[in-house]
Amino acid sequence: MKRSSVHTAWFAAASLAASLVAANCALPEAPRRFALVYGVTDYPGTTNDLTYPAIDATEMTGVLGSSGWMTQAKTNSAATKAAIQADIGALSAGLSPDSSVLVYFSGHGTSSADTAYFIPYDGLSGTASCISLSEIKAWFDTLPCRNKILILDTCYSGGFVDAGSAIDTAPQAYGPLDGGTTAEFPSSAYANFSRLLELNAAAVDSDLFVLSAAGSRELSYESSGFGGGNGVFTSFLIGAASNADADKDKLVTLSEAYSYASLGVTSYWNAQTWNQYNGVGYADFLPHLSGQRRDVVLFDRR
Amino acid sequence: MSFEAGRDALPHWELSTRIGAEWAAKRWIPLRFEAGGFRVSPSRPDASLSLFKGFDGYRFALLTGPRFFPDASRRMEIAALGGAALSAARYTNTTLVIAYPSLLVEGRFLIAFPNSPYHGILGVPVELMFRGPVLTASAGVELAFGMSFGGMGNRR
Repeated sequence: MKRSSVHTAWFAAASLAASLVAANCALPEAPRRFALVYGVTDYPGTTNDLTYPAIDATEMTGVLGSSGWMTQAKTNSAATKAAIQADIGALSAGLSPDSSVLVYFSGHGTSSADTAYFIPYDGLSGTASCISLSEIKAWFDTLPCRNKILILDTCYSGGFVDAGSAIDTAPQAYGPLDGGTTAEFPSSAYANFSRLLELNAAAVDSDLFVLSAAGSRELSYESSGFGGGNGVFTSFLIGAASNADADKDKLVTLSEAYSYASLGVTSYWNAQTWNQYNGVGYADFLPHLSGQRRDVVLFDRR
Repeated sequence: MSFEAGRDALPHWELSTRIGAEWAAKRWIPLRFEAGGFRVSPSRPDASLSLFKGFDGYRFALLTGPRFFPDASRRMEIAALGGAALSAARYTNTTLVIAYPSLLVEGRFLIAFPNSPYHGILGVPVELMFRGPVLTASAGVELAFGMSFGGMGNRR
């Protein structure tokens, strides 16, 4: 009689999984993509003027235009709240579900009662004249396309970012007094595991992809030492078009651009010792990315 | 391959490594435990240049199932395992962390090395990852090396 072969076995395994369904190896044709680009350097009066947002807008227009986007740029007094709303609405007729619409804004941002705003040219008179997430989302919701992208190089712009079914371990205020670091993975995931499973089951992804320069409680900065004189975040975002294609497929996704810009801000801005206290507060900041399961191509370099 | 209602299914690739232990009874495997790491690439883009993000993380799994012996020597074994897993991951190169459950099915062929406690495994693992409205399915090839122990003789 055979004896029962009850035993344990240790094993190590390696597996490579791939789709068993034949994939179309040809990349799809580029669909119609529209980018509305705004930069406000010269606000009414002189006390709120910045130096580089109009240059940011001009350079972003160039790099988006060479990456498959049909662009329209407005700077300074042309970049009013009414103009931004009208520009978004005017795109509606020319869109299909496969189209993409991107809005980029460089300028001031503010936060009031835990609501973030970006400030168009005519937005200095109060939050009603600024643009909030709920307002711009309502404008985007009129568009019959799937891919809607908002990129903000403003202070407090993290208030526009929805982590969705994810938890963003980068703090909304990053700096020496705020801990100075992002929570490490995987401990951050295990510490919030039941919450993450709840979010996974419940969350339906927003159709608005957002990339912000800074957290919801952070300032963002501009500097003559970045790019040719740019917003610090925007200088790396422009650089991402040429340098962020991690998988070498000639397509730079929003996630790849975020990763490149975040690493750049961390390595070349946050790492500066003179940067640790600027007389107002700690100047460290981190970009944030919305937490959809999907991603979109930002720069098409084919 | 990731699926979402009303959208194109988009292919990814995945690479994983695992280590674990199992208890094998005479005709079935009551429990197998696995822990491992994995990396799922970003998917290919669809016609709108939208794609699924890549993610990487760690998976813990429990499986069970019957085992069969196609030859009298019992040096070879075929097993069909099913189970469930929980994974913690992050979207690659971001600070966004996620978690999701999975269902697992695996068919495998095991052959014991003569006069040794070691055996090799060739498997076909299938995983269904339930990521909210997105279902990600992976199927692939598993190569494994194992050692029997416990004072109950070689794996036969």
